[in-house]
Amino acid sequence: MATISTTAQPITRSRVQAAAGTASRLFYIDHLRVALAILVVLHHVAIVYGAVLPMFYYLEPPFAAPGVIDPVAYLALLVFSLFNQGWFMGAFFLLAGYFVPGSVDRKGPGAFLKERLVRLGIPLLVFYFVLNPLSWLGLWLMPPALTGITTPPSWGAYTHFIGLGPLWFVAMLLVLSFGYAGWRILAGNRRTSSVRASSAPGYLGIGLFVLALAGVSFLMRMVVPLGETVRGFPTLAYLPQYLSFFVVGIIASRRGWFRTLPGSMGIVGFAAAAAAAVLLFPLAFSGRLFSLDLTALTNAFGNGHWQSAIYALWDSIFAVGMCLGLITFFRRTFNRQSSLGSFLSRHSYAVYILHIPVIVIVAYALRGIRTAPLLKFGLASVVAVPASFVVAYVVGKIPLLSRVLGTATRRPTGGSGAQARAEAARAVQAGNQIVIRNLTKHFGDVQAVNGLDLDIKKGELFGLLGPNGAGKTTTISMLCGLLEPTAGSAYIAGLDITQEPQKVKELIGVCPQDVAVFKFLSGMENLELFGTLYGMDRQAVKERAAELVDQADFAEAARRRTKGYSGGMMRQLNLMIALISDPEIVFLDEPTVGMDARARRRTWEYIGSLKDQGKTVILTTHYIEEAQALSDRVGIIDYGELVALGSPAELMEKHGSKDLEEVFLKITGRRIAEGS
Amino acid sequence: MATQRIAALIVVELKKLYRDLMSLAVMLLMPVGLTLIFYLALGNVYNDYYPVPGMNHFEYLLPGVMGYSVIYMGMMVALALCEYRQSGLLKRVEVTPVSTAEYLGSHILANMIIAVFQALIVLLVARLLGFQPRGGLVGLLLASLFLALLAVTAVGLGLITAAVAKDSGAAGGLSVIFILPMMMFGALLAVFNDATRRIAHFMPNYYVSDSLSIIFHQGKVSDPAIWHNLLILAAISLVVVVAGIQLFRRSAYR
Repeated sequence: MATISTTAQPITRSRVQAAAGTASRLFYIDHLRVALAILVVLHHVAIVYGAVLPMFYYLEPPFAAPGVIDPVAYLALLVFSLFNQGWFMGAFFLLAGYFVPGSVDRKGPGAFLKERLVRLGIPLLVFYFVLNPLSWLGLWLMPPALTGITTPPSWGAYTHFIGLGPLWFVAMLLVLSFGYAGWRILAGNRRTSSVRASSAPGYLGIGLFVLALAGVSFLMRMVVPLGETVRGFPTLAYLPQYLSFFVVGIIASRRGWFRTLPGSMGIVGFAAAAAAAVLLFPLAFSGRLFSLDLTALTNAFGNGHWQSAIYALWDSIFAVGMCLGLITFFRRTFNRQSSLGSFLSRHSYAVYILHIPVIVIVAYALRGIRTAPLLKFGLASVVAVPASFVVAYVVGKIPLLSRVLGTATRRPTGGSGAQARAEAARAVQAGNQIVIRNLTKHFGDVQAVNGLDLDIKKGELFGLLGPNGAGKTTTISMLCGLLEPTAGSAYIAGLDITQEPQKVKELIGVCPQDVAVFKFLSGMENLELFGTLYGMDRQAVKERAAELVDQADFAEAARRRTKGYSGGMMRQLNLMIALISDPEIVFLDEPTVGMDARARRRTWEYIGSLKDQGKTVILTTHYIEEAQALSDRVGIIDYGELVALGSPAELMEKHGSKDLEEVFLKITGRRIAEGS
Repeated sequence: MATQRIAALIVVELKKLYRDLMSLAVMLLMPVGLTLIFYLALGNVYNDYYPVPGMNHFEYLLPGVMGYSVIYMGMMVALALCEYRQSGLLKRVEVTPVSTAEYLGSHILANMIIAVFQALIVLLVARLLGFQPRGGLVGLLLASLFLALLAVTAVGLGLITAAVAKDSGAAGGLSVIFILPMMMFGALLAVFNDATRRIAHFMPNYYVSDSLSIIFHQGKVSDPAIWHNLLILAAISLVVVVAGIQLFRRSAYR
C-alpha cells in the first residue's frame, strides 16, 4: 500500500511502525498459556480425588488404596493425569522458549537475567520456604494412623516439608534461561544472524524429531523411570521432552514457525495425538491393543522394557501432536484480546504459583460432601479454578508482587507504544481528533483492513468511500469499539480506542447502516433510553430528545411506537439516536440509504448542520455525489487500504476527472474489472 | 451511572414483556396453564414413594413444575437476543458506554425477577387448588433464591443457545435440547428409578426440585441438603452463565 501523508507533519508508515513496534502481541499464545495453567490446576485436583499418588498435599477420605473405592473414577482420573503429564509441561517449556530470544534481544542478557531472577526466583523462594510447608499443614488434619504424625507442627517438620512442589518447572526454567543467556553472552549477544525466518518444518522433519525424542526418552527412563522423583523434580523422566521443546521454542521464535505453521498440520497433529492415545497408550500398559488394563504400570514407566519404548513413542507423538494442534487451533480461534482473556492471561502465572494451597483449602472445605469421586472432582474443579484466579488477583494487587507475578494491566495491540502515543498526542495537538496508525484487522486469512494511517481534523466532515467489502465498516467498527484491531492503534480525541473504549464511546455517536431501534418502544422512549445509556440524567435526556424531535419536525411521530413507522421515519429516528448525547464525533454509516430524493436532500442539510455545530463527522456512503456535496475531505479505501485522500476538488484535479464518481471508478476500477 | 443504565435496560425488558402479547402470554398463561394441567391430570394420582405420606402426584411434582417454568426463560432469552442481534440492536447498544457486563447483567436481573414472579404464580395457583406449602416466609424466600439462581442458569443456557443459533427460529429449536431433558428428569416428570434419578443429578433444576420439595413438602428450611443443593446450583449457574457470556460475546456482533 502506498503511504499517504495526511497531516501537517507527514507520518510515514515506516516511522509509525518503528515507533509502535510492528510485533503485535500474540494473544493466542497468551490464551494457550491460560488453558495450560487451568489444566495444571485440574491435574492436581484429579490427583486429590483419583488418589494417584500415595501422599499428596491433601488426601480425600476414606483414605483407601487407589482404585478400591471407585475403580472407574480411579481409572478416569489416572488416564486424565497421565495424558496431561504426557504433554502439558512440555508445552509450557515450548512457549517459554518461544519468548526467551525476543526478551534477550530487547533487554540484553544482563537485564534479562535480572528480570528472570525477580520473576522466577522470588516466587520459587516463597513457594519453597513458605507456601509448600503451609500446604502440607493439611497432613495434621488427617488421621494420625494414616500419616504417622502424632506430634504438633514443629521446626523439624518444617524443614522436612520445605520443597519445590510444582515450582520445579520454575526452577528448571530459571536454569534454562541462565543457559540461554549464557550462550548469548558467549556468542557476543549477536542476534543470531545465522537463523532467519523460514517456513515451518515439514512432516518428515517433525516425524524424525518425534522418533528421536521417543528414543532419548526411552533411554532416559532406563535411568530415571516415570513416577520417580529426583531432588524435588517429579517428572525428570520427561527431561528430554522439556529440553527439546524449550530449544524448539527458541528456534520457532527465530523462524516465525508459530505464524507459518499451516492449519492442516494442526489437524494432522490432533489426529496423530488421538491415534497414539487410542492405539499406543493401552498397548504400553497392558501389552495388548485396545485393552485399558492399568493395573501394571511398571513396564510402561521405564527400566528398558519394550512397553516403555511404546510409552515413550506414545507420549512423544501425543506431545508434539497436541502442541501442533493447539497452536494452530488457538491461532485461528483465540487470536484476539478480550477483557476476560487479558485478565486470565495476566494472572495465569500467579495461578500456577498459588494453586496448590488453594486446592488444599478447597478440598478440605468440600470434604464433608459425600458423592462419587468424579462428581467431587468436577465440583472441586469448578470451585478451585476460579478460586485460584481470585487469589491470584488479590495477591497481584499488592504493588511489589504485581511486578513479580506480572499481573499489572498490559497495553494491548500495537507493541510498546510509548513513542506511538507521544506521536499521536502531537497529532491531536495539531488539531486532529481522530488519529489512526497502522490499523489492521484480519478475519482468519482475510485482511479486511491493512495498515491504515489516517488523521481527521476536529470539525471536519470526512467522507469514507469504497466498494462493498473494501473495509469501511470494519474501520468504523474498530473506531467505535465493536471490533478489536489485530494490530496498530487509533486515538479518538487523544484516547486510545483499545485502552479507553468506554471513554471513547462517551464521545461518539454512531448511526448504523441498518436501522436499529426497539420496536416495542415509542420514538421518544428510544431516544430517552439511549440518552440514559450515555449517562445523561433524566431532565437532560428529555430536553435533548425534545430538541431533536422539534428540529426534525418529528414530535407527533415520536409519541407513537416505532412498529408503525415508515422506512424514512425509521431512518430519521436512527440518526436522532446517534445524536441524542450531543456527541463531539459522529459516525454515519450509509445514513441515507433507502431514502427518497427529498428525504435524502433534507438529511444532507441536517448532516451539513452538524459540521456547523463544530462536530467531527465521518460519513461512509455509496452515494458519491453525497460525499462530494458534503465532505471537506474524502478517503477512498479498497482492499482494506487507503488508496486516495484529499478534498473532492484536489482528487478531481489530480485524476483529471470531472466529478468524484469518475475518480472513484478510476481508482477502484480494477475491482470492478474483476467483477466484484 | 451503571445502576441507572442497568435499571433503564431492565425497564425496557419488562416493557417488552407487557407490550408484546406473545411474551405476556408465555409469562402469565404458561405457568397458570401448566399448573392446571398437572392438577387435572395428576391431582388424584397417589404413589408410595412421596417424601410426605398422603400427598398426591400433583403436589409431588409441584416443585419441579415451579423450576420448569423458570427454565423456559432460557428459550425466551435466546429468542430475544437473536432478534436483537438480527436487528442490529446489540451493536447499537455496544457502541454506547454500556459495558457488556452491564447489558447482560441487566438481562440476568430482569429475567431473575420475571422467573421468580412466574414460579410464584405457579405456587399461588397451586395454593388456590388446595396445596398447603410449608416452610413459612423463610421457606418462601429460600425458594425464591433457588429460583433466581436457576434463572441465572436459564439465562446462561439462553446465551449459549443464542451464540450457537443463527436466528431466532433456530434458537427456538435448539432450546428444546436443554428444555426437554430438564423437564423430564430435572423436574422429576420421568424419574421413577435409580437410573433416571442418577440422570436427574446432571440437571440443574433437579437441585431446585429437590430443595423446594424439602422446603414446601417437609418444611425443613435448615436441612443441610438444601445448602448442599444451593452450592451445586450456584456452581452450575456460575459456570453456565460465564460460558454463556463468553460464547455470546463472541457471536453478538457478527
